[in-house]
Amino acid sequence: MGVAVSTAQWQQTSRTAGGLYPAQAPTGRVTGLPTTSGSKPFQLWAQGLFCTERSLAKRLKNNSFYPFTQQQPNVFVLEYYLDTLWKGTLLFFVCLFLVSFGLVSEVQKQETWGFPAYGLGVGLWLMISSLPRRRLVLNHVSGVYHFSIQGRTVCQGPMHLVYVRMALSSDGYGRCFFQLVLCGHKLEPLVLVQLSERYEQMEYLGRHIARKLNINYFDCLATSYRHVVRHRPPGAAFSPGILLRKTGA
Amino acid sequence: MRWRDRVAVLFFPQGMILTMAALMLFFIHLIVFASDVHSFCVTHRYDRMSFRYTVVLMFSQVIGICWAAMGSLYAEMTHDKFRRCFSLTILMLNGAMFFKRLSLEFLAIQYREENH
Repeated sequence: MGVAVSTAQWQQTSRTAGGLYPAQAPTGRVTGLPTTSGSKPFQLWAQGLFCTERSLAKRLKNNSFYPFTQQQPNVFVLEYYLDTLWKGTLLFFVCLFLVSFGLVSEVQKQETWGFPAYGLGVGLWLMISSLPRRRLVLNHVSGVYHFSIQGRTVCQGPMHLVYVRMALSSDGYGRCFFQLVLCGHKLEPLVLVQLSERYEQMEYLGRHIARKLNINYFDCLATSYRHVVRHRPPGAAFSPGILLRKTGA
Repeated sequence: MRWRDRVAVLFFPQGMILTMAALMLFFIHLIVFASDVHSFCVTHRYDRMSFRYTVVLMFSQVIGICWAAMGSLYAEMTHDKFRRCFSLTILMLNGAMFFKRLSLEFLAIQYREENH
């Protein structure tokens, strides 16, 4: 009962907040790495790391198509850098510091400068492979999504291959933790909320995002009544896995 | 292909990068192993062997096996016969290298520097 009441309050707050704050175009921010106007390429770094579903709801209030920006009606663009950029840079500079000052170069007559040297190599690789900017475009006018890295097209496909998914992991005592992920075929999975225990709030946010972006939403279980399917693969009505509901009459 | 495409291919696909890194590590370990066997069996100059680098070498061998295994996992998902065979071969080579290195360290354990 307590859960149902809090869900109702949550929905009420979000609806009034949606009415109070009309969707504003996010202002462009000057950053060190090149971006196009009107996009925040580092917005997903904090979101994937610490933030809960409340901060996602707050960001959705400011930009109802979060994390995308609406370029034209029914065309959504997302430009981002992978979070391995800051992880690789951090690893690289820490290992560079260790190697140059010789802090761990010899332990008990064993040469151990190889460990920070390894860290240098791995950090450099992570940094270089994350430097190109990723760009994901959802184009409902032509019905395709387009994923490119620094202008080079990686994948272009129909809209039923991009979706918002709730992922479930549980610990040894049976406590369930939920994660909201935006992913697709040949796309890099983007974590929108990293870890949360509140299923109803997460499901509401996932469905809201999927409704705004007009893509599919899937629940944590493979077979479930809670999927929201807006786009089907062509010819899916005849596949044996989908049961058609008999319309009365 | 333009040269930029050739460089960009280094970033994709994921599985090939891990297999290539494991192959590079395998060649490095092979060179070190060959020089150690030469010092141990042929010239009997035990001070030229790699005893001071044993910890890093073992760590590197294990990392090579892990990367080869991950690359093999990615290759299995692509259903490409050449890529699957190639990454499995690299995995087996790295595994064999690890056990050869372990045997050599065991054989040469009496010849390490004494510390009292």
